[in-house]
Amino acid sequence: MRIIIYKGTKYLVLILWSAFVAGPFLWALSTSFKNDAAVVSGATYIPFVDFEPSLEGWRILFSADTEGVNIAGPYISSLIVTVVSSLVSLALGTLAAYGLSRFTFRAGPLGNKDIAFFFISQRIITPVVLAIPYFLLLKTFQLLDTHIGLILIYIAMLLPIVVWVMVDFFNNISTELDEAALVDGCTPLGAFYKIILPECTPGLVVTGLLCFIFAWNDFFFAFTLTFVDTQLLPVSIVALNSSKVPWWSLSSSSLVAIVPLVFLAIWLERYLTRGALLGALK
Amino acid sequence: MAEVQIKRLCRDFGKVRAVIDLNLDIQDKEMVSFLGPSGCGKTTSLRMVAGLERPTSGEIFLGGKDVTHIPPKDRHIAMVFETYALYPRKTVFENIAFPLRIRKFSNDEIKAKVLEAARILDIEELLDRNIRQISGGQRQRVAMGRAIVRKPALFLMDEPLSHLDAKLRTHMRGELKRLQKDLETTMIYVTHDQLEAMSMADRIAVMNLGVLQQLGTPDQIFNHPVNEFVAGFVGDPPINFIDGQCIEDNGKPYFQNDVFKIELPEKTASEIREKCPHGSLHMGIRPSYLDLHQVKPDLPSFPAEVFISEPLGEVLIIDFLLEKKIIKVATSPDVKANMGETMWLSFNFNKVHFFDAQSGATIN
Amino acid sequence: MLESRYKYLFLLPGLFTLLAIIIFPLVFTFRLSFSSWDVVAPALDFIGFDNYVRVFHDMRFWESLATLGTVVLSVVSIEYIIGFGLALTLWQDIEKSRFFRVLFIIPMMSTPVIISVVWRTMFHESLGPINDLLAMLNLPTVPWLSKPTSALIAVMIVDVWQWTSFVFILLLAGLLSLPHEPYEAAAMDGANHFQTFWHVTFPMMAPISIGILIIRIIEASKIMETVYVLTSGGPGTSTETSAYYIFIRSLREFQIGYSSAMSIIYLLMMIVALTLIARGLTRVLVGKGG
Repeated sequence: MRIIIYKGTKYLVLILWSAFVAGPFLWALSTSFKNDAAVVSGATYIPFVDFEPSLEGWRILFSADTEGVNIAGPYISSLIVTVVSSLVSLALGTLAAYGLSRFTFRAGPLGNKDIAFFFISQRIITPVVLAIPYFLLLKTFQLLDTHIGLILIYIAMLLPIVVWVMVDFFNNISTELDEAALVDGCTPLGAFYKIILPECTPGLVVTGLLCFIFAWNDFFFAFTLTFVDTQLLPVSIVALNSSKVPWWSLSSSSLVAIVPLVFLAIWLERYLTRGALLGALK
Repeated sequence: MAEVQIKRLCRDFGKVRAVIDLNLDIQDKEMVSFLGPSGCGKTTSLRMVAGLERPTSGEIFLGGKDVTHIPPKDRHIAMVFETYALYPRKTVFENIAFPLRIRKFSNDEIKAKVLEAARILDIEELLDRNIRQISGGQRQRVAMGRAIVRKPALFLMDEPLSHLDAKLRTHMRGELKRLQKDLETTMIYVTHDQLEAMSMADRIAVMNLGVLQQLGTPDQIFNHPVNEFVAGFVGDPPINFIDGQCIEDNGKPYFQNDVFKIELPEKTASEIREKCPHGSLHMGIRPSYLDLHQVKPDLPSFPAEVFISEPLGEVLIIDFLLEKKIIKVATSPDVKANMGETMWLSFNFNKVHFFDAQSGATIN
Repeated sequence: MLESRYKYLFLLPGLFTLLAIIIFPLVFTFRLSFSSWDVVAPALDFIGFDNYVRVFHDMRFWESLATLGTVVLSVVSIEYIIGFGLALTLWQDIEKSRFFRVLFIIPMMSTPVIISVVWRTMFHESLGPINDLLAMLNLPTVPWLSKPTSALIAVMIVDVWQWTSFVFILLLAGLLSLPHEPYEAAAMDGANHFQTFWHVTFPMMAPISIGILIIRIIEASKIMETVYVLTSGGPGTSTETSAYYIFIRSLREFQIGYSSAMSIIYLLMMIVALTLIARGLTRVLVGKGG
């Protein structure tokens, strides 16, 4: 009897939470098929039952007329910025993490641990604090409203994450492996590239995915530092929020923006469950 | 030519002095073992020869060339690590081939050399397997294969047998020694196991606390140790130490302690007086150089009580209690000794070493 | 440790990039805080500590800190409890639970702003589903975004929705990495579920819990986008978090000198608070198990 109560509670919890999690998505899905009539009179849920579905929300996404949203442009911009900044951060950050893991650095009283902490502590800084300086910085170099300007900022945002995760991965690989490669004829860079890096593929994948997610999801910097020429996805969708755009196009564009992330979730989950980030937590 | 010359080599880690003023020369094609307990500096010295550690001061010459500041890859050396350090994602073949690939040998040359190395080490059937699938002993051979495939002038080994089970270790000792002779390479072999060093090396460098204690052939190390540490480190069971004083009684020199008093031969006595004026001594006798008697024999000897006996099959070790210290005697299995029984242990002064109790230095 | 004359080659590109893109702006902000730069008079002058004094007298700033504190404390605690509960639930049947695991981490990967946009429609008092469901269950409807308390709760609900998954997946990974022996010993000693949890599981999870809590606190304290979309700080200024307030002052009203001073003060307070929290947590959670 006890077991049934126990298992029952378990399933209840799971189902309740699943409903909570899925709720907004289902709501958005349903709403994306609505039109004026279905919304104005109160909340409605199931197509065909509660209301007459319409494809207006979806059609608007891809049309170029003024009422339309034209999501393709922002989508591509987001993709470019996210991918480039992720790759660069991954490269620079992994190199730095390897250096911190393998070599000893001294700058007066500060050593490796302090340098690593410096990298990681950047996360404490609220983006808001950096908004103005970045604005002026990019303006000076005429990088406002460009892809490159944003990429640079994102690299700064992503580097701490890369260093944080990768240092731990490297620490878990015995230095004897590097030394064997050195004796066998590699330069330090060669040893890093040919032997150690392939060992770290899980770490690289997790870090890469995290970079992608953080960059893709950023709103604040894209909002403050880009206007017309470069439009990123989150910004364009929020812009819809304020101008009287109907709920259905809001919903459809939101869903479209989230879809790639769902795929990433499927991919990432496996690594996270296996504890890819556990070491980095300490 | 692959002689190694180490001159005034030092390595400090902050305040810790891991290697202090090491000087030694290794001949071409010689196998020298660096022997000592953990922390004695033997591995650090090896790593400096390899180029994996930078010396705080001093020089290293390989084949007459000063390599002190040259990176490992340019030193024409090969190394077998304690944990083998095999490349995890590669097959056995690729592991052995790696050093050749780095140096841009052609595929045909690589194949030929790898096959030859595999043949020498008897691992040809394993070539296609992934590293993860093979046993510890096989991995050790692969590590060696990777080292010999380039035919380096100098071979460095860092406790290569320590992770093998006892039987395999015994077998590998002979194989390794034969391999070194066949390949005609110079080899430096680091170990804490004195049996390995004694059985395999042409010369042994015994180290303790960063300082080279003695460099010599196994015979020299065993029979003519330069101090207590070396005497005590080599030999199994280890040498017995008995405290005592050198005194004069009625004009005759004696070795005396609380249990017994034995007359010293004049030659020994004069050496003692010369090198150890304070007379405080440790007498060192190896277990196999003590003979057992039921009654007091007409030889230099002393009594002791049987503590326990350890039959090892071919030899019998009897532990004796002498004034709260254990004296071990190695004798034939036929000897009967009962716990608590008192027996007489005799020795020959030719086989005994006296050490200065304060400095540990050998007197004779 | 390896040695190489090339070691700087590894570290410096990343380090310099970070220094350039983060330290210089910070230093610049610091400099700005001593100026009176605003829309009316954009100039890098020097007015001493005037801005700082003004901040100390600014009630809105301190209120925003209080709001922030409330929000962070509440959401992190709730997320920890629910996340731990979920992790425990899925811990034992790890093969069959893949569906749930993937589902549960989707929220944390979703774009916060976009999610907030969707939630905004859901919180709509008359047209949104939440009040509708409440009505269906015969519960009183809530004027979500138009009253201070409920607005704050709405913000918290969105944060909990999004970030519980973060706590969940990491705690789950931690649980999966625990050794078996203590559990076998506890079973032999006759401990029931609750006792096993309290005396075995929880203490062993202490180090990971601390890491997760600290990260969540750091990230939660930056909350701004949700507020921006959901409530715009309102009604009035009741849901203004510090980050949001700084945002208003700097990018809406362009009081750059003043907001820079606020930023500096805010940063310093955050660093101090986080250090204290980290130490406190370590003492509480690790002390208990040790």
